Amino acid sequence: MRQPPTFGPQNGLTMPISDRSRELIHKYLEAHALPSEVVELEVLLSTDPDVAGAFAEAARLDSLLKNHFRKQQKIDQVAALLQTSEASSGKTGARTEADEPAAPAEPPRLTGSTFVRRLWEPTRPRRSLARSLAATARRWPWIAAALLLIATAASVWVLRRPGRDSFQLASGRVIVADRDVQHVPEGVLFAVAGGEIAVLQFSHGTRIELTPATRAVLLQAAGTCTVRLNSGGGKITVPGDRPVVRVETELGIVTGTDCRFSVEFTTALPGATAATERLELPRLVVSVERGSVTVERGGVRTTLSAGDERVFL
Amino acid sequence: MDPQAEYLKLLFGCELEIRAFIGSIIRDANDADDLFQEVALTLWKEFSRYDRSRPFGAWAQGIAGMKLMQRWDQTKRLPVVLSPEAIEAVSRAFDQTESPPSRRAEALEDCLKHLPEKSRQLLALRYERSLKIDEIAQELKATLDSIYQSLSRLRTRLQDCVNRRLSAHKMA
Repeated sequence: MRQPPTFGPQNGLTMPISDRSRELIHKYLEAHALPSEVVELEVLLSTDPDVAGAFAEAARLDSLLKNHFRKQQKIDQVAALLQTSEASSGKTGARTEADEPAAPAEPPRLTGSTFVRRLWEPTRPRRSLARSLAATARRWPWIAAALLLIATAASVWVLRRPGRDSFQLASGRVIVADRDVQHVPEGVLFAVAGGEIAVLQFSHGTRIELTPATRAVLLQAAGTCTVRLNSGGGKITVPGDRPVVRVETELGIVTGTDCRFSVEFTTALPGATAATERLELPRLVVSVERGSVTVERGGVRTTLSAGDERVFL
Repeated sequence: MDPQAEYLKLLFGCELEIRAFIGSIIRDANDADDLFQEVALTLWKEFSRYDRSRPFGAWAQGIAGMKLMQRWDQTKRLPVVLSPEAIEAVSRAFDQTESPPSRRAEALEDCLKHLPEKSRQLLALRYERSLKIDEIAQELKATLDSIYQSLSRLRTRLQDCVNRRLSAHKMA
């Protein structure tokens, strides 16, 4: 039995292919074909250019669909982030305007963009400087009490927070804003200076050995220690039952616990040398010595075990 | 133009097509990714020998085909499942395309907009979350065969829609 015309290799009208050929192509692409069916498809592909054309078309569609949905996934993630940010700024606005005079009638709003809308939000009426100072003076005792409370709470938090000394430099040189440091501050970009490996020993036993010229930011949250790697790399050792270590790069996120692995993240495109003629594409190289790590990239998770090395471009 | 910049421009221009070709022969996403990287490095090493009068995509595909054949193991049939003869036939078919991948992608976007929500959700499970048919069946509490049939029908429908749009564009 023949199907209505389908399209082959030339993207024009070609001979239709049989139901069976179509079925075999779909089964193959879904990894659903039996070994005997794969052999049957092989014969059809080798002998019938229309089947080969339909196969190429189906494979292209498969690839485009993957591409489309992965792109969509990223767009959704960004949209969710924007929505969260929009919602939180909306809440802040409501709180600060609670004790202000009533807003004037709302002007017409532009539709279609959440960003445009803000331009039309009413502005608050200005108060004179004298009135502002008088109001501040009346509130002074309350302001002082609030400041005292905040200072006390901040001191308690700084003294008690877990892993306060966790960014201790054990050996090598690390610089922050052109100054050598012994403690790497959280959330601040630092670089490994000099020609030696910089070793960061964490209070919970995790050890990070960074190669010279590495640039990164360290972050800590409950149960996770994050290294945001701008460039460079090194070896990371995470003891068992310790917080998860997460290495974030533009090409993927590496996560592991109870393991030893190394990462190398190259962003630049160094010139190819005539001797080697090798292209150094931006890449992330992950190799695992002990345990296993997960590499998440474009919505796909890959688990690497001891002995594995993988290059992500 | 700097050779590296020229190379990257050419490579990115046909990346989707090369990935589709490799992905059609090697069905495991990680293995396919590995081979694409290997092909990209080989292309760069051989770039000085690239004949600029020929389309870069066809040259790249030829090298990808060669790499695929090198990996074929008659006994294990993994990661390359199809025989060298079949790979060659598929490579020829990929070579004969007329529409640039970007136009195909646009046509697909249009076609997807006209799909019912339920169909889009099914495709999202398959391609966004990379679930296999049996995992989708489990998630949707449906039979394996019904999911397989639905996906096959959907792909055929999309394929026809994309081709119709490409033909219409060509006529216009």
